[in-house]
Amino acid sequence: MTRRRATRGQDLDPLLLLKHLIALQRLTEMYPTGHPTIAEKLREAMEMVQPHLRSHQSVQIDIIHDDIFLNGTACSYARSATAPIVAALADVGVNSLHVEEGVQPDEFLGATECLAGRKALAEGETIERQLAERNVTHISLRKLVPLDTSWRMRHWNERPTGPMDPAHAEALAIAEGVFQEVAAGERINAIAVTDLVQLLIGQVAQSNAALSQILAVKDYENLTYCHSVNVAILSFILGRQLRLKEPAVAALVEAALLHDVGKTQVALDIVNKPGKLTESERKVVEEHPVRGAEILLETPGLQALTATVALEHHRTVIGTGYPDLGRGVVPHILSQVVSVADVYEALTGARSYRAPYPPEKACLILARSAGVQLNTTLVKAFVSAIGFLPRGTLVRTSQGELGVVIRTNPTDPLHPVVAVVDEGLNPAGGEIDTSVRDGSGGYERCIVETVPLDGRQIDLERLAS
Amino acid sequence: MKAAANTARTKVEPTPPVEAAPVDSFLLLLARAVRNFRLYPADSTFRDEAVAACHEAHSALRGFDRLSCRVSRRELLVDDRAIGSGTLVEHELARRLHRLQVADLTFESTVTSRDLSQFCATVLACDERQGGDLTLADRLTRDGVEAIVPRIAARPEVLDVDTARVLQFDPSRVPKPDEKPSVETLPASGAEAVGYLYPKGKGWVRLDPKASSEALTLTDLALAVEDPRDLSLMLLRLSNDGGTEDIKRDAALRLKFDDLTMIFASMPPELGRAMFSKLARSVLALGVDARQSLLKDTVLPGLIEGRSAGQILNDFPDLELADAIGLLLDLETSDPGVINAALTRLELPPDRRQAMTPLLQRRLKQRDAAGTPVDPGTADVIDRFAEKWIKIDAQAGKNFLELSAFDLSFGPAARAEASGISDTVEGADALDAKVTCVLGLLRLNPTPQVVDTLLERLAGAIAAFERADRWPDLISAVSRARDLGETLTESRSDIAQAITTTLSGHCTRTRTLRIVQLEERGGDDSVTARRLVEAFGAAIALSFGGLLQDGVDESKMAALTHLMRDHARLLAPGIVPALKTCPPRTACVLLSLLASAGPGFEKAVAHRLADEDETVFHAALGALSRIGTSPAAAAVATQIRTGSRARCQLAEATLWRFAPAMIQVQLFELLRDREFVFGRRDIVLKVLQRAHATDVEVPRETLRTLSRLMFRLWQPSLVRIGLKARRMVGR
Repeated sequence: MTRRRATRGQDLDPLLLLKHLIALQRLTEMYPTGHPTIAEKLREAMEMVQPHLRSHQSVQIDIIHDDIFLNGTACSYARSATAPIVAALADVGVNSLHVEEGVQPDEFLGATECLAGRKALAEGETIERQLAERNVTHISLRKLVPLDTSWRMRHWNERPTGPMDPAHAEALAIAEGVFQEVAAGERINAIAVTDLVQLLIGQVAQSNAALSQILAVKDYENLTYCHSVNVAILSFILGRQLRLKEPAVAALVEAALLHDVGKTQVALDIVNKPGKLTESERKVVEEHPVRGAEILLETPGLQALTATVALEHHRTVIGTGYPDLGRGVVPHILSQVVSVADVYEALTGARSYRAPYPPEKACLILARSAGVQLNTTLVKAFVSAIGFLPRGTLVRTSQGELGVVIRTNPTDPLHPVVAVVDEGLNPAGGEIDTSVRDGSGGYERCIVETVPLDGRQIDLERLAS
Repeated sequence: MKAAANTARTKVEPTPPVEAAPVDSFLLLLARAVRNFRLYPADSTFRDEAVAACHEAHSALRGFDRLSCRVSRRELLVDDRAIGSGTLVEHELARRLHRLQVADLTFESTVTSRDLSQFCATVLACDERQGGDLTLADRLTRDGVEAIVPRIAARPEVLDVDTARVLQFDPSRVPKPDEKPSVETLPASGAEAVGYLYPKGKGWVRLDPKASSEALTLTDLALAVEDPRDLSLMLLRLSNDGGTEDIKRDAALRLKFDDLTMIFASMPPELGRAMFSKLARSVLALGVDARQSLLKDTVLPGLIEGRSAGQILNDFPDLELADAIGLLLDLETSDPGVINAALTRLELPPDRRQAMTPLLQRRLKQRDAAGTPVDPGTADVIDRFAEKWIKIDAQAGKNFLELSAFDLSFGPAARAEASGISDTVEGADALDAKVTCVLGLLRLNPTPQVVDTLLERLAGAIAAFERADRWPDLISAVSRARDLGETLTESRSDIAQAITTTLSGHCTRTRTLRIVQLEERGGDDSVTARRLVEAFGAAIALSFGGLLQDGVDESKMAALTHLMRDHARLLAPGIVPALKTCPPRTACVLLSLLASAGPGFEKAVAHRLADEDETVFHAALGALSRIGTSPAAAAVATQIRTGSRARCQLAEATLWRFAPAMIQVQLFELLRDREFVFGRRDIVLKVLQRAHATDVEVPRETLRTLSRLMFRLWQPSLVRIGLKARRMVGR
């Protein structure tokens, strides 16, 4: 008498297969090998898996948190139905059974024998080896252990701490208010934005304290409004370097201030997510220029280019990036200005998965991105505006000379004029202009490091004379 | 056994089994409804219609109490049958539900339109992560949807690793997350916290039951997987990205390279070095393009910036390392010194650095040979650079070496360019920028609500150009809008239509009259007028039609007709709708224009053959003969067959203005129509006479059939036809 198989169509009932295996395990303990009852069970097991193997190449049954998964898809069973089987398998430490195409009936027998003898395994012996000894090559029995994906992160403050320039603090407060209103679905307060732009240009950008805070490493994880205020000031610095006139500067600062307004529409847990975003999260984030531009276009009283900058600030100078405005479509020059400031600001800000980059490293990344992502001239103008090596800095050149910066070079901030000194900081060989180039167009020497003074005093006037 | 199977499976099965086609149809309509909810605003009829269709399809599912679908990554499984892979069902339903950790979804037979509508909105809101951490099931319950029940289950990714390798190492020796060394230099101010690089509770590793580990960290996993490319694939699966099964190992390596280096860098130094060495071998095994792209995008930037990604280069053989470092010279601002900086960063032993020199020297020369020609006098300079590469040692303190290796001087050339930039910024046109921005947003698949707002802005900008007489800018803006409309015709016909409507809306009588006035003035103004007409295309046709209808003074009418006739082909699609309803005088002009437009508008012209006005009828016949195509000839022939006697005669006369081949086809059709021959005997005779006179060939078989009419002696008119046909057969 033959029994009919219990599965329907092409699919497999994983619980039924597991029950068969447990039953088979018990039968092997009761009857000798080759007994008709065992042979019948083996045949049934084969009949169950073969149709599935024909379409899926493998049967992967995994038990996780008492749920049974077949090839990654959860199967719906009542707990009462699965509990005995899950317990029986847990008893032998197995909760994953994978069967590959080409499996033979005897392999099921071998596998159940291994299950039966699992508790009695000698030290150093594994089920894998036991299976191999029984020529079971298409069935694997394993246990599942959770993957711990935790990682050490840094928790940063959400805003600047410590003493701040009052105008800078006020600007941050106003910006926070504006961004919160937008996040709540209200319109942008164009008057507040105009006032903020005036505050940024008239006071914050004139304050050395604020500028040094913005240009330096920021030990806080930038929320959108802090980032926006900082980008606005950095754009102002770049605009000044480009000698833009007042109305253009105001337009630039406003555009920079609102370039990320679309991020108010992105869930905060995505914006602040540590590590890389998933594909779907990335898509949501990449929508922010579009959302921002839409919000800005609906706001009366803003500069005409503000929306354009919001839309294009993640586009590159070679016409790539997002959003997809068409291959080769190059962003407006004002968007390119804001992009440079945006990248620098993002790099010098902290992230939960990395420390903020120091300015020289951020500029290094700008330099590397020049011509590919960012406008080369704008990068050069920006770096020259920052001025890393002020007068009086003790430096070492690539030729091994020790020198003190006596004159900065406005056209080449990384290659100043230095007075050569000895270890005691006494004059020792005149002046060297490190911006001098050789016949190939390369620099003859460059500054490779700054040297700590360690309590030594520099007589800058004597060296400069 | 069968009974056991049935009790084990407590999922309520549809009984009898649900028919496949209606279920497929229901799920497809549900997916379409989700899509419409995504694309269209809350008050859109597209949403309502989609939900109604979906509900209807659901009601059509007979013979079951509830429909259960299991959710897999790319399809839904109903009654163990996979549905929807590669269709809307996959993209709008299966993938979203899979992301939302829905294990299965049950539709009760009592599902209402409201339930379906709420379901679509909630699925989208959950998928876009709006409104906190509530699951889809929680939200549906909260929103009062009881007839659609999702079952949420953690969806695991089971990772198969080589158990033997796991048993080889003792995971307890590998630092735990809280002991992990920092990947980057972290300042003291940042407090530590534990985050998750990949979703918590998603990854499960298969181990031999003998293995003592109760959990594996990412570092353990990295050690347990032999090939970094396999590890990349696993990480990709963990990161919940859709469609990862299609991604090959090499592509996965590029996508997850940063994560791999981050994990390897966290290992104890010796172990880390071994892992980076393995990673280097995987990178070297990539195809040339893939390797170069990875080097340029990730490895070399990592090297220059001091990140761990650059470490793999230490394990590159000399030749490959020289090739890789040579890629740095492709950077726009790079100075030859960048090579020196890279070598310094690599901290190669002196002998290896020495060995690299001739290889890099050769690459520098190759670059100069390929790009800027080398001045013979400067060839030795390259050698001097090469010497420098072995001179500088690693530096301590605040290092400017790498930055100095880029040419960031803001010299005269850069200043001149900057000056140009500032001129561009100062001279930037706000209106033009607004148009560009609006058109950019329009092409990004916005919802119809947004489209309306954007088109309002576009219309405003175009009107502003017009007010300021900025004709070239107006022409440019309108042309770009029209081009965009044409591009979107297939993918978003609603936006394309809305653009056309906006452009038509701009063409008011006053504005159109201004264009006619420009034409009237002649010279450059006329050129502008013509460019404007070309820019607006069919969108201005209706307005032109309106001017014709309402009448303008004579000189303007001449300018108008000139403009229209010269752009007839362009305007024709816009004229067609107007032609249906316009009065006779206008219709005649429009028919004449369509005649000038040529093929493609026969149907619209033929439509006016039914006009009671004789002048319109004449004009339509004339237009058809000028169009001169087969459909035009067929329309005339139809008129011969069905028109009144007078009109039939006119049509018959018109038919002879077509090309002989076309006349021949129509004659064949007419003369074999017994009803026509018997009903229009005079016309048939005339046709035969003309055919005889003009040598248009009538098929012999047709003539033979007609010649038999000569024996109908009691009907003389038919006898005449028969005799004529007989004569023609004998010719």
